[in-house]
Amino acid sequence: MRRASDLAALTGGLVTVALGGLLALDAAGAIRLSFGWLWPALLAAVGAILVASGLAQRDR
Amino acid sequence: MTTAATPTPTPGPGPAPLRRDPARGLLAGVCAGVGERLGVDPMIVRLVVVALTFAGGIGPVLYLLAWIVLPAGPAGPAGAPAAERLRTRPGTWRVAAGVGLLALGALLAFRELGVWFSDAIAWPLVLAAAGAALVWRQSARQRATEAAPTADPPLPGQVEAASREAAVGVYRGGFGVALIVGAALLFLYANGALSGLGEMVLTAVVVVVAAGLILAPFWWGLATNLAAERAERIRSQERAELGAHLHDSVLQTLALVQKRADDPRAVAQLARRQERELRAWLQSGRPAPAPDASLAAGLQAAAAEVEDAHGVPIEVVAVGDAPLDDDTRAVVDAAREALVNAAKFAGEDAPVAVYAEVTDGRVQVFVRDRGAGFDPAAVPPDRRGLRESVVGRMERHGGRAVVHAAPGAGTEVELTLERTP
Repeated sequence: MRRASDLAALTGGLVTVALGGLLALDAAGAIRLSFGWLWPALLAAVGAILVASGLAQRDR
Repeated sequence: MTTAATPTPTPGPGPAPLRRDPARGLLAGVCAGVGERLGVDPMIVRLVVVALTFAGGIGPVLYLLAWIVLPAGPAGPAGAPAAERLRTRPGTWRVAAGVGLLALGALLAFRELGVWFSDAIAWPLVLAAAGAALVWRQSARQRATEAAPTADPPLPGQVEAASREAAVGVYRGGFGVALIVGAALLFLYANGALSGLGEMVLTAVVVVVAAGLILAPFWWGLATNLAAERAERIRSQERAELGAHLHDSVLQTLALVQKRADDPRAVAQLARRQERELRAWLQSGRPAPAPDASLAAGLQAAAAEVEDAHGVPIEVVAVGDAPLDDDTRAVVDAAREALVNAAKFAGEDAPVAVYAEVTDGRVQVFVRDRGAGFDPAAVPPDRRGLRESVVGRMERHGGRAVVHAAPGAGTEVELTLERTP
């Protein structure tokens, strides 16, 4: 159960760090994060968290 | 004997390896296998593959790769039971929504990369595929529900759940139809087919909305009647099952009691056996489980056996349960021996109680009686029942048995078995 809960928390943390990194790179001018790229990234982030939490709920 | 069991969730097998499932697949069983592994409906995986087809044709490529790479799994049962099992697994809808969002993100990313057909084709087809999946899924579920066997009596609350499920099904099917209609209109609009038909489409929409408003009460009434009819059918089956069970158990026992009214011991045994069956039936809605089904079932069977043989009422309380293996079977056998001792030496008027507690790491069983008690140190060496059948048996299986007894204070045999979670 502990491992299952950790999976959801770990995925959420990694996804948040990845999104934050993208935004930081965009703010620093290293990449140009357009609106057309931001939406897929946000949807994929939410989707990954949902999948991880669903699998974690199943393993409990 | 009275029994009370609180089952703990039995840990299921680990996640199945990723394999194709040709038995439930439409083509090679790739989507069915992936759906089984993720625990989502295969229709959702098929929808993702279809959606990726419009992202530069990557869907069929991925499918072919998976077909080549993944081994075929054993043919399993097809149809509604597997779909129902997937649907009722916890977290299924969350995983399905996550897969859908991931697919949508991938589609948008492919679109941004330029690996894309056309907005006028891709999005309407994605919407139509989602709607068709909903309608198809709802239709398949309804067929499965109608074809489901109804031999078992419905559990409490099942009638209300069936009514709720019927109402949710109406909404789900309606949403699927709306998605398909919207996709068709979007396709026509995006391809300019509606440019000259604006007024006609507007008129048609108004007429459809008006017709919907007029017919909505009738549709609602029809759906409600269908749900009520189904609920009544389930109640009727429940009454029939109840009547059959009473005839097979209570009435037969009463007839036996009348026949053997001159034998109080036999009458008491019949009454206790009937009480056991009724309590098991009331608790689970089904007959008592087989003695080798689990630790709790084994303890209950052992208690029933001793109760019948010695005529002493035995109460069994089990908190948690565990599958029977060599070690837990030894606990049951040791508890049976302790029960026999309690029944033989505590006297018929001293009730005997069995309390079992099962956690992830430990099995503990207490056998208590309020009889005369004894001094364990004064037991002659040639009396091997307690020493070998209880203490020795537990030690041979890595457990321990402790006897708490004193003259006049009853006896408690504590059996403990540590387990690896």
